[in-house]
Amino acid sequence: MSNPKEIKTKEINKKGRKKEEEVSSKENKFDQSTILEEKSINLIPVMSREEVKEEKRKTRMNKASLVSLLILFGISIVIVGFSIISRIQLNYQKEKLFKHEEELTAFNQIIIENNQILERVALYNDVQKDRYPITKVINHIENILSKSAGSSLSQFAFSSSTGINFRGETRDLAELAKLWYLLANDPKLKEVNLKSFSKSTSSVSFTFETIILLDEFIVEV
Amino acid sequence: MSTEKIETKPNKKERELEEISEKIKQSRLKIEDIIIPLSVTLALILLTFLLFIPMIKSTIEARTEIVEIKEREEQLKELEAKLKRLDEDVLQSDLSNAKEVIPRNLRVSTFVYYIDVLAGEKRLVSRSLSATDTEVTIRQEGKNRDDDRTYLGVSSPLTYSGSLENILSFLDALDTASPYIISIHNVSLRGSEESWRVTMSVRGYYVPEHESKVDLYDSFKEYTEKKEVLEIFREKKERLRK
Repeated sequence: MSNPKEIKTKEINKKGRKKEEEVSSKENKFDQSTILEEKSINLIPVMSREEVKEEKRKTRMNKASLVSLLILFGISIVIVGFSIISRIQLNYQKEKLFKHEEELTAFNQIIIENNQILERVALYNDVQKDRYPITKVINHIENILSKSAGSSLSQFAFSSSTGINFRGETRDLAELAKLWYLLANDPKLKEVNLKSFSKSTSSVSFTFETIILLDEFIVEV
Repeated sequence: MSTEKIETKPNKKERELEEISEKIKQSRLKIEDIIIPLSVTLALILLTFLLFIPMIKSTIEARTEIVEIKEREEQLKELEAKLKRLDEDVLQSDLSNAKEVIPRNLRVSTFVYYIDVLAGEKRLVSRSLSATDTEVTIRQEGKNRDDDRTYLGVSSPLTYSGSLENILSFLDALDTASPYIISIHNVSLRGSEESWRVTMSVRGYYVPEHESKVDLYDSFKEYTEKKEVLEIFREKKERLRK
């Protein structure tokens, strides 16, 4: 029989051994892989957690590098490819256009002749623009004069494109006033101005200035 | 023995701690580890500025040019269609009419001769007759001076005398029945019941032949759109033949 002190120390030793075993079993968790199918021993040192983390980080980094390289390569391919395709298309379109231009040079003479006709048409239109028949204007003034008894025309001139002045004679001042009224109220004339008049024993001579309303005469053409 | 055990345990732990701290140190990211991503990024930046941006710019320019070329192509197609619509024989005939009425060179003698013959037909007596070459500038309505059109012509100041009726008939004929394109300026009449005198300036026009360059991309108008004027040219040419 052992005394109780010995028993206590044994128990303490047992507990201490248990703790050591526990610690060693924890450590051995990493070492489990060292035993391969209980036949051989892996001599490669097993990585610690930090090492595993480090390896993982490195792998991630390498993957990121690979992805970056792939993206770079992809972008390069897309840009260079698009550029090359665009250049090819441009050259093709240029060639096509050049060929079409060459084909159309056969029509050059027709274009020149067409333009020669158009040039003459433009000249005709420019000359005819705002043109009115001179005789219509003279006849119109004569018609107004004929409404005033004894009035006659002795001189007529176009002072500008629409301005006219005319000189004539009438019987007396009353007829001149009537003539002035008729001219001033004529729908085809504006700004009628009696420039001068002189009375002699038998007649009154006058000079009128006025502007013709172009549209009124052009419509009549 | 127990004291030895107590001494060895902290040593082991210390060693373990040292090992762990070393491992931690080792596990830190080193410059060698980021050299590839860094060089890739740098390469990407360099490529972007030195290659991609210029390439993208030139590609955009090329695309724009392609669009412009396509527009030009469309323009040429339209032009071709218009040109094919023109009958070459009819064109030659119309050109001949236009050139007769507005010749390349209006000879002063021909022009004056025509006026004098017409005045003779109207029993007018010539008082003075002369002719000079002139240049006429016509301003387009609502346009600048740069758009002014300049035409060449023969200006003929002339004076005729006769009855007012004949003078008016002469003015009408000049105005309407002239085989040439003419314009009458500075008309003034003076006279009495028996005899009148008309003084005026008649201007006939011509278009000299000039070397014309064809630009396929200039706006093209078919002359056939001006049928009314072409008909007037045809009538005037017939009058000239008579």
